[in-house]
Amino acid sequence: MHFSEDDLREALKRKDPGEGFTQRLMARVNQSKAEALAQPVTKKVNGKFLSWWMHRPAWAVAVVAMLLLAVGIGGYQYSEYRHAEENRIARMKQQQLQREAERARDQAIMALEIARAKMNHVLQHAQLQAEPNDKIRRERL
Amino acid sequence: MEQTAAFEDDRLKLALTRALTGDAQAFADLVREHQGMVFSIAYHFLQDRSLAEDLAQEVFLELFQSIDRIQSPAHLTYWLRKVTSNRCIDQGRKKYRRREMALEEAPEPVTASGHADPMLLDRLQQSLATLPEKQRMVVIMRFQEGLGPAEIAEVLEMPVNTVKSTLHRSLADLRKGLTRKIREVRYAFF
Amino acid sequence: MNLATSKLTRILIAAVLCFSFARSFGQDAKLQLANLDKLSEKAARVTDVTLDGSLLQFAVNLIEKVDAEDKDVEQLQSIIKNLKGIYIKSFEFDEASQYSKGDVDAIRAQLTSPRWSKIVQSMAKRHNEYDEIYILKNGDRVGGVVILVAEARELTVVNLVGDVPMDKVASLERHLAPSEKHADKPKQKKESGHDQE
Repeated sequence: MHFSEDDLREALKRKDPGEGFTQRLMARVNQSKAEALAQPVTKKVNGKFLSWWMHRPAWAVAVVAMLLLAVGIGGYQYSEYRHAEENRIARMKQQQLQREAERARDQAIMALEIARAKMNHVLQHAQLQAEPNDKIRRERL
Repeated sequence: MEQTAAFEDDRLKLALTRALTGDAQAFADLVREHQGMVFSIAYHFLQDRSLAEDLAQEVFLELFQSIDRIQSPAHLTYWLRKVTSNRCIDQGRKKYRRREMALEEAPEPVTASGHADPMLLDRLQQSLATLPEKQRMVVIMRFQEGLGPAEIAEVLEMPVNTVKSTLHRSLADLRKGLTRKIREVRYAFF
Repeated sequence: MNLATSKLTRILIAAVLCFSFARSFGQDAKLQLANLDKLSEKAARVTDVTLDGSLLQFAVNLIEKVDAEDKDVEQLQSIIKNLKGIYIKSFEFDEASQYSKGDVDAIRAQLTSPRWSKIVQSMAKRHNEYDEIYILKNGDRVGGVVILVAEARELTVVNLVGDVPMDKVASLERHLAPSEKHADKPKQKKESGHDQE
């Protein structure tokens, strides 16, 4: 079935809300004014911002919950990160100390080996010198 | 004509200025000036008188609290259309499913004027109710408020081309819906 | 000054003297070997070990943690636990006469103190070999050891500070070798760091 745009305009002509609409509205306006006076003033500076949220309590609750969750998660993740980082640094330091200790141990063993070798070298030479027979000494060397 | 329009504009400017100072009477004047527009948008969208009145009251209450943001009578009209359409769309998404309305659920018949067929107008409104929310509001802004695509785009925060294609599609959908309805009625009776 | 104060003063002086003696004693056991560093450039093989302070303590701790059922390890542990420092400068040269008599005399000059005793000496003038072992007496214990090997193509000074069990050092088994990565390499400079006390 065909219809014209005029038909549509006719169908969507403005309607009046009926008697008492304005009175009922002003009654609510006056009530809200009285309530506002009775309560502590919502800061006018942020009034527009706050009133938007006050009319959408579900949104406000959701946003606050999300913010708290974000802060909580963020804080937890940060503390986990810090903890992990501290552990990592401690492990690195521990590993470094361990490496240094092992190096020192190896150095000590090598040093004592050198000391042993040189001591025995000197003792051996001294002993050989004490030998009365040069020939025997030469053979031994 | 021009003088009348200018006079009206001055009157509204004065009412707005006084309303900004907290003059309740001036605010009530503004309400009376725009209540038809706000109510009609809500009514044609929600197809429910009491819901539409509640929504319209909410819009004006919000206006009362945000009156200091209004810069001019034109801005006031724009603001009312924008807030009303947003609230309607939100309400529609919460409560409405796209559905075929039964004949008995149809809203009260439009007062016919001129040569318009009342039943046609009735069917048109029923078909309108089956459109998706944004599409429905585009049609209302176009054919109730007489806004052009650019103005509709600004109020509904849509691209202009989207408004145009939506209008085109909406009219096609309305025709389709109307044809189906007529057939159903015929089958019911015959 | 009354009697009590006089007594206290004498005790304090004695304590300071003992401390100074102990400090100087410790310092006597450790030789100054820095004058030999210039020989690194000419040497084909250099071994430079300085282990004292916390680094030596690391080594002691690690060695002590090892299972002491092994006699060799036990011996090592018994040697190292009382050491306060291990200092070695060893230079091996491709050619003879790469160091001077003055370099060696500078070491010997530090061993002229009455506390140092030369317990072993081996000389072969023909081969230009002078090997000596000195100990620092600390009562009936050894407070330090210096092994000096001055030969044609080698100059080595080993300085052990602390209570050194000489017999155990001499009998230390050879297979207590350090790990491969820290084994001596030719022309190796500065083998280990030392702890700055």
